[in-house]
Amino acid sequence: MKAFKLLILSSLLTLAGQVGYSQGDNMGTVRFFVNVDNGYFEIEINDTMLLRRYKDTLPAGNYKAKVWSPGYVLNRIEFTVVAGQTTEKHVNMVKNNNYMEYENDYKAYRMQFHKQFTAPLSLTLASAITSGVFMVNAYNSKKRVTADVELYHLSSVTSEIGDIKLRISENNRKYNRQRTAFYINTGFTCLFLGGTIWSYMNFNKNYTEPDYSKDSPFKDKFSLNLTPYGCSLALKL
Amino acid sequence: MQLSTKTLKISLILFVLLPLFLGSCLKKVDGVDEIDTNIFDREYAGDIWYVIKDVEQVTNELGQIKARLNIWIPKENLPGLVPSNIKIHTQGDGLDVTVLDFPLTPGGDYERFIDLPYTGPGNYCITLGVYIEEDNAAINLFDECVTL
Repeated sequence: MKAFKLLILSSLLTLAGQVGYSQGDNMGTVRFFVNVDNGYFEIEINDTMLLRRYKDTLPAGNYKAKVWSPGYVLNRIEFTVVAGQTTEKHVNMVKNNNYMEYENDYKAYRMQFHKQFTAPLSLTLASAITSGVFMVNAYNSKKRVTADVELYHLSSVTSEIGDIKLRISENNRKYNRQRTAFYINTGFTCLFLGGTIWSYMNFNKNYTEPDYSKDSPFKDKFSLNLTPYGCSLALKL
Repeated sequence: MQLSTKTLKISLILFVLLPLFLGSCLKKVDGVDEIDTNIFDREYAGDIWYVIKDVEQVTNELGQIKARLNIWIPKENLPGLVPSNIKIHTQGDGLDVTVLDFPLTPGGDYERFIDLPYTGPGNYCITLGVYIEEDNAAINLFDECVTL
């Protein structure tokens, strides 16, 4: 244990008994309305109590608190809890410059990601799906042609043979068109795919995902210990 | 967000190979160029589809001397599904145009005799065609001669 730090251990259960707050007249409620867009905040009250909720019941009195939310500047506030009443405390938070820079960097990073990977990949997928459609249609046409060729070799009815030959001719033309389209489109898909791989590798080489630490400044200050004998809240000053 | 480059490469290679593999089956359809081999087809382009198996001199029940041609239409020259008999347009030396029924043999061929007036030793020629009842006409006519 470092000398300059004092570790205060107190059992939460015994704390309630020792402090001996009278749960009646001396208590008031405070509600925090913290203006953040991520919905998360932490409030350290009087350097000793950590709140992670928007409402709590506290003994009446004046308090000093620090409000923190990821990406926002630590805000110091004061409020008064009046016994038997609910105090509403509105806290306006200001975005951290580093966080704003991170947000801009991340936005730019995502934009590049979409430009250099998502967009080419989508194009490749669309081209591949088109190839797939051509392939399925070509298969269907081929099946029809093959079936009609078999029928041709079975039939002994001249008029029916004429119809069969017409169908074979038409479906075979379709089949040849579709398979040509399939081969051309598959060629394009391969090109797009090569482009996507190249683009993605280029992106990986040139861009790194921006990082921003969202650790709470109160992280190492408070800890909750659970033991077989009870639980305790540790506060490092 | 970062995809493993190895995984990406493998997926993409598979992605390319799969359609190529599937596409390799999209070849030209066999047999499309050969849809002119059915003797019931008006555009039949095959060889003569009947065979004169034999010729002999016979005297019929009326005491007439005839040159009897044994005509055989082999199974190989016929479509897969055939009726129990077919009508054949027949014309020969000394024989007017007539439509004869050819019965199906147990072997799946058509066979029958055609009698031509006997004119002595020499060549006997015959013309056969597939008779189309709806058109009252014959298609795929072929001449064949045989020496007695």
